[in-house]
Amino acid sequence: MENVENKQVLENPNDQNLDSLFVPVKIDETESEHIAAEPYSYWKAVMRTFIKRPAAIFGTISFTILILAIIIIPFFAPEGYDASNTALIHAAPSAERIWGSDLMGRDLFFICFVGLRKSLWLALISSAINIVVGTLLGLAWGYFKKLDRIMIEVYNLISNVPSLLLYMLLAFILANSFPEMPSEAKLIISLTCTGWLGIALFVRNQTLIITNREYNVASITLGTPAFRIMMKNLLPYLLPIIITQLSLLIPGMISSEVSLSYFGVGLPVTTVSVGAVLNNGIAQFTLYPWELLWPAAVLAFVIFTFYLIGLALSDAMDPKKHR
Amino acid sequence: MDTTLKQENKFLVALKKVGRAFKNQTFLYIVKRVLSSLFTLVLLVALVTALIRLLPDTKFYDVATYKKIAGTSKVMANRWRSMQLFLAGRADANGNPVPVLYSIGRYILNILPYYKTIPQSWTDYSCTTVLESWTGFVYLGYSKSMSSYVTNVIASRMGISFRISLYTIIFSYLFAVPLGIAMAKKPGGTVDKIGNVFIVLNYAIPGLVFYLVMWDVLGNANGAFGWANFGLAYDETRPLTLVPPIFCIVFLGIPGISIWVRRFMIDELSSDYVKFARSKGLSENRIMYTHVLRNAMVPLVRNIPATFLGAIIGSYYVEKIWTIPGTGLLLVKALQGVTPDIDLIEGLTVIYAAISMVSFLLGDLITILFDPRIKLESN
Repeated sequence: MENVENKQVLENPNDQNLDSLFVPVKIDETESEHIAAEPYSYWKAVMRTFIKRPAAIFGTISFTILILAIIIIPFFAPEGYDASNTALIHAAPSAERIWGSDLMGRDLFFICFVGLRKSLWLALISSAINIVVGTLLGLAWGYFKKLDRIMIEVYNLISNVPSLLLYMLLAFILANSFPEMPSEAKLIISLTCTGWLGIALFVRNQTLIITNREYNVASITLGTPAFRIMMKNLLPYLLPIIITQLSLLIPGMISSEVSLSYFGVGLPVTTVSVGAVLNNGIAQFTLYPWELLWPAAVLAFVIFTFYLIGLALSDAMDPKKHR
Repeated sequence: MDTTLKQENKFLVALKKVGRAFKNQTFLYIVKRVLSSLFTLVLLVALVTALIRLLPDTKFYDVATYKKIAGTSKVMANRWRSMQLFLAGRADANGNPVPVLYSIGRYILNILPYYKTIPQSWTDYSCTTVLESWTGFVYLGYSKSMSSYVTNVIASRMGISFRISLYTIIFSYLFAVPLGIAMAKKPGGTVDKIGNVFIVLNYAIPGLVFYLVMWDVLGNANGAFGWANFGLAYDETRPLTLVPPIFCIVFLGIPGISIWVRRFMIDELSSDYVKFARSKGLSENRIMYTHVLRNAMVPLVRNIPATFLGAIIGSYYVEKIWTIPGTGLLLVKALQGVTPDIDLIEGLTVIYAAISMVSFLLGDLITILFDPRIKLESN
């Protein structure tokens, strides 16, 4: 019987008796404007995801150790640690010189960390130049369809010229035309003369994928200037990928410095930098293995740190993982 | 009467076949790619020749020797210098400088594939050694430092580099692909974690240092670790001595492959067809090996021709440290000798560029074979 009654009530929603069952809700203007969900902030979400990754924790810890080491250790360097000392040439590790001495009798421990400071600076500057030039050219390359044919040809050409030939030529031209230029500036020019190409190609491929999305088509239809579209529509989308690339590029630049030194077109052998110190060690490895192994350990630690951070960043900066 | 008709028909059929081939998109695409690669190659030759021209004349003769001869006779010294420059292709037989455009044009004619004869010439200053005339299709020049034609130099050294690289590729894929699959099976699981730690640590090792340490451990009796010497220094007659260099390259090469296998497989695992297969009750292994792997391999397969053809180039560090007479050493030797060996530099550049262009084309073609969804368009 009850079922039948209910049915009747449902069939007659306008029944006057029902009004007493409902209490009207008070309308509160401020309450209705309040959004209970936490506002989504991209960078906050990145931070939240980042600190949860084990790679990020290890990476941040080792990065802190690295930065502290290259700031603090040079302060404790004794007098004449980087002066050649004939009495201490190839001295084995001892209490006085914990990592031993190199082929010029310099203190290997302090040389490694002072050199690392210089190498990191050089790597940072050349990576930054590569990233900025590569991103801007890559954006233009991907956005303007007419540029594509020419740039692909340029890419094919330059990537096929042996890099050692280019470096030798550059070293020669710079030595002749600018004799007073510091060798560090020459190294940065060598590292950046073709380094931007790879990044430009990478940015171009990403740009091609997103230029035909609706929001970009809308901007183009509304007559937004190309430069504004690149800066406001494309660049923010690409920024996470570019930052990840930067963190992977820095150790790559240090490795390039090492191989440039190996082929004799890098910094002079007497310079205090990771590349120069490591290459001195390579020549002495058979008889004095510590001269290679300690700088190699420092280099491995740097690559390890940046690789971990890059790995964690690439995960954290992906908006799909922000849930 | 009958026979001529048949012949005509045959001719018409052949003509139609050719016509169909020209309508075929893939064929048109290949023709277009080959032509544009040839164009790039010609531009590359021009660029490299011009770049080498930027090197100063003093790089091509020994200044000390010049001064020594000039001490006795200035005329003799100048004659000696112009002869050196002639051998380097910078001056003609009378000592007049050769224009850059002329050398570029001559080199392009030399590498264009048509049947030609290069006339005989002298290879040294005193004109005692005669270089026989050369006939063939692609002339890459004569290497002065190796005293042989560039094609012969590369052909004689290619074998060992190619053999090492072949084993390296086979073993890298043999170890890296299963590792990637095992890691992708349970993202975040124990295997995945161990694999990730291995990859990160492996990436951190500087390659050159690793090769040197391995050489001292396994091959060098007089090295830092001579007490642990295994006597595996490279020896042509003992194939076993190739194991350590191959191990080195494979070990350092595994992460680069595994990490991509893992990533592509994880990307595929979230797609609809996998969910469908799972809901139909297929076993996890069946899904992994017959459905996911096949799709995940598409982007990886594209690189295989590049890896195989790149094998001819060889690895500089490995060949240098293990003293293996392969092609990897040639370019550095040509660039860093007493005088740069121009013909060898240019020849190697052309060959490497041709290899990379061919392997990209082959990569694209293999991708079509693997993935019927992808189609090439000539425009």
